[in-house]
Amino acid sequence: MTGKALLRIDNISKNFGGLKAVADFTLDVMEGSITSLIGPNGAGKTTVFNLVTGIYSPDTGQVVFDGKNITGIQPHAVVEAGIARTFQTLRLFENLTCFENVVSGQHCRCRSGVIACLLNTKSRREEDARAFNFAEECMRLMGIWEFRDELAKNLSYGDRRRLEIARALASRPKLLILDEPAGGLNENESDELMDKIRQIRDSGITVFLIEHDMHVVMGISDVVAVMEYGRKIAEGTPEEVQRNPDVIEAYLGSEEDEELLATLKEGAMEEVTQEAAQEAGEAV
Amino acid sequence: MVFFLNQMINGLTVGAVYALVALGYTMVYGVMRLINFAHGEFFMIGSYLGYTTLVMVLADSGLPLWLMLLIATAASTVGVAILGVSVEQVAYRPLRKSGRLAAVVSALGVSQFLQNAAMLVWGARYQAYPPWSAPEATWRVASVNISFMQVLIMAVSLLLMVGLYMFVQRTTAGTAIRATAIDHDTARLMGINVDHVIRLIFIIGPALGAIAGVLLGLYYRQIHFSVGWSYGLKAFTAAILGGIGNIPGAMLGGLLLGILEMLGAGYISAAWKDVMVFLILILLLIFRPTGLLGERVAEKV
Amino acid sequence: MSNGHDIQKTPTANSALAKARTSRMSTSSTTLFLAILAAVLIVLPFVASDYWIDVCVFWGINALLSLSLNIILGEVGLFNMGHSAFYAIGAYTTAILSQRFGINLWILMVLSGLTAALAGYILTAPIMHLRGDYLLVVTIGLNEMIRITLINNPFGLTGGPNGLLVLDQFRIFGKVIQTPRDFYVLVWACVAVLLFSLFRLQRSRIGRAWNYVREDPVAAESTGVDTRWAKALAFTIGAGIAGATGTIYAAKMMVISPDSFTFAASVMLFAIVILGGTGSIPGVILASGAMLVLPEVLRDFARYRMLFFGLAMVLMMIFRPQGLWPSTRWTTKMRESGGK
Repeated sequence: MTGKALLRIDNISKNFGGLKAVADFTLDVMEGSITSLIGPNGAGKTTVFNLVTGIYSPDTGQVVFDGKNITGIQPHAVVEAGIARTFQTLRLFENLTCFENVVSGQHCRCRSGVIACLLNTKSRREEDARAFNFAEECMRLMGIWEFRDELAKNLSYGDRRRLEIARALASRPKLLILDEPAGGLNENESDELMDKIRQIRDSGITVFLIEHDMHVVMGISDVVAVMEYGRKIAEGTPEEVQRNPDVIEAYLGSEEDEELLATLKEGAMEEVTQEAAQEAGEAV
Repeated sequence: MVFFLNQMINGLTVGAVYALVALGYTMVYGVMRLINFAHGEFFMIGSYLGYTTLVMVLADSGLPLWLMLLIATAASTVGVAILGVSVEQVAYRPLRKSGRLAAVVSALGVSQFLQNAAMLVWGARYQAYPPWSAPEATWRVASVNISFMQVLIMAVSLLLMVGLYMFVQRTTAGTAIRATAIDHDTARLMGINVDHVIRLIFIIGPALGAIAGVLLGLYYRQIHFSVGWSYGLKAFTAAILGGIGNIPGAMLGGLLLGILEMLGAGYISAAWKDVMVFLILILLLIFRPTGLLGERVAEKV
Repeated sequence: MSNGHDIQKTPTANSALAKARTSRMSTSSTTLFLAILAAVLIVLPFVASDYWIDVCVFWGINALLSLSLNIILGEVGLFNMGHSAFYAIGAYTTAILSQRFGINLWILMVLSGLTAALAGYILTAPIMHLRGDYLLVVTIGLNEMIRITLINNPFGLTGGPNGLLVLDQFRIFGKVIQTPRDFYVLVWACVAVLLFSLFRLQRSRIGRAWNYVREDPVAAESTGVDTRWAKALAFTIGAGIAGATGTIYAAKMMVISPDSFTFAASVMLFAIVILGGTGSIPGVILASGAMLVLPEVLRDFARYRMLFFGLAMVLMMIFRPQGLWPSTRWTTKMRESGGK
């Protein structure tokens, strides 16, 4: 981690009708870090991602990436600037092959226009070859090269998640934004995912993620930010956040996230399970 | 001023017909999120069925005219409602799980099929409702002309629209329709049979279209297999204008479009009136796709 | 009993293999189809009557139009139901400029293509973002607006319902293109050039971008594809080709009128692309031929043609939404051969 903020989210707000989805949210994502955004369901995490990646434009505030103001620019321009993302509910090109899916990331790194494509110029062919090679690299990194000619819709859920990350990596991002990458994965798969995310970070890409799986969040994050009702209520190292009374309060307030609360108060959780196990043992 | 009032009355008359047809578009869209391109053809076939019943069956029956018209309208309504339910069963139901565009293409196919079927059955030329079928009485109120047919069209449309509104707002079946329009799955969980609701929509919509078809046939006398398409497109514009999926919106949109069209034809140019209608449609879709009474809904990513 | 067991077992065991085989077969079958088509088209002028050559000229014109719509509808998935408007703009540009200024038809073919392309770009810019079904309605509206405008004869330019005469002819090295056979060569040469260009675009980053937009516009935009650019490019190119085809049509018919550019003509082109298999070049060529040749072969069929199209659209959506000849996916196996 260097001391420089790669992404500065500065005081952004977004309203939907009367609902304040995000309110005066500020966060710096440090270059070379793995930063996590957590919070109860409906806290506005995905909206923050959508505001950063240009799917929505903020009502107030600004987003600065790598020294450039990218507030309100179109999503494809955000990718070009160096931010790639995945979606909470996967958005793959289901009827295209996995390789085609990943090559899409390279689109914004290529320049051939209509004339070059019609004339099939040497520079166009070389550009495509480079794009294909890089796509191959990304697929090998995510361990899905063997599925290159399969249609995306035929892959298993875990492989589809990895395919989406490979597609995002193919655009050569400086910042990778992952929306619940471990969602729907089993424990083995999410451990593997953590390794991959670390590997991606070590290759020089900053990672910014939303995750509900506290095992993953606490395991890999350098910085954790916590949201509630569209506001940031805490920020710090995983240990700091786990001890923060506001965070515990926030999770106590929402019954939906009992599981999260339980993981936050890991010690207490263990006791409970032990008690339950004892009771079960006594019953037998 | 007299000219203006005459055009207003003409506009309200045509607008009432648009409104009746627009209701069919808006109800199907509200419940199924489908632009039912075949709906204009229901209207056209309704017009032809009324014509056939009058000319072939009732012409020499010696019944009083009002009864003949009532029977012809009833026959046409029943026929078109059966057609509507069959079309839904055959062409839309199998596609409910496919993408919405598959259903739209299917709807276009149905529209082409019905249009050409009508052409083969009734011929490519204009057919005319017999002169005796439409009462010709005309009143002159302060030098403004109002014909009996105009009054009839406006009165019948108003009655049907109020009736439909009450039905949708006050009855159990109407509540089921509104619930299904909001969310199929939730409606199903509440014990609503979504298939029945959709079938009901495909009875009411085409039936209203058929009545509008008979009224228009009586008003203009001439009918053609292409009227379904042209009136359908305008009624659809009316539905968008009022906010598609919204029942009072379709009524308002229909009347407004009729008035705009007739004033445009009267004061600007009759030859360009259809261009003006399409221009309204395009501008609406660009600048206010939710129409006058529609609500803006943020799309979830 | 044991027999039944075998029958049940075989297809599942081999299904993966069979899938691999069909995908490879269909790519080579595209080549095979084009080879057979070329062979038939080369032999035809020596054996067929002028009448059939004429039918094939219109098949070629239809193929050009359908292929141009296929870029918009098939490759990018934009529901354009008003394609004959661009065709009309091309044909009328040719007729007006030829009548008033006597410009050479070859130059007019380029000018008409550019005019239609510009119209395609400008007219669709504000409506491109509309969702599929709304776009369909708006393009129907555009088609009707342009047709009514042609009928209304603004500034005495378009000749009203009767249309305009085009008396000039294509000349090449002093030879006038006049007979059905001349037009046959001209039209199919144009198809060949177009096919060659389309295959190149399909296999390039532009073709890929189009397919990404068709599959999922939000995902395409989020992986860095400028979807507005991709859509505008498709509309511009598609409209341009339709416009240039308008010049050929005007030269062939010698008279053009608004009746040739109705909404029904757009529906037919739309149906050709859907029935042929969206994005599939062989499918579109076949379907565009079938729509013309079938009514000629089966005289009685002509009356029922549109009835049949309507029915076919419904049945295809229910039973075979991918079209008669589905487009094949690009695979890494083709990376060595196709990518170069």
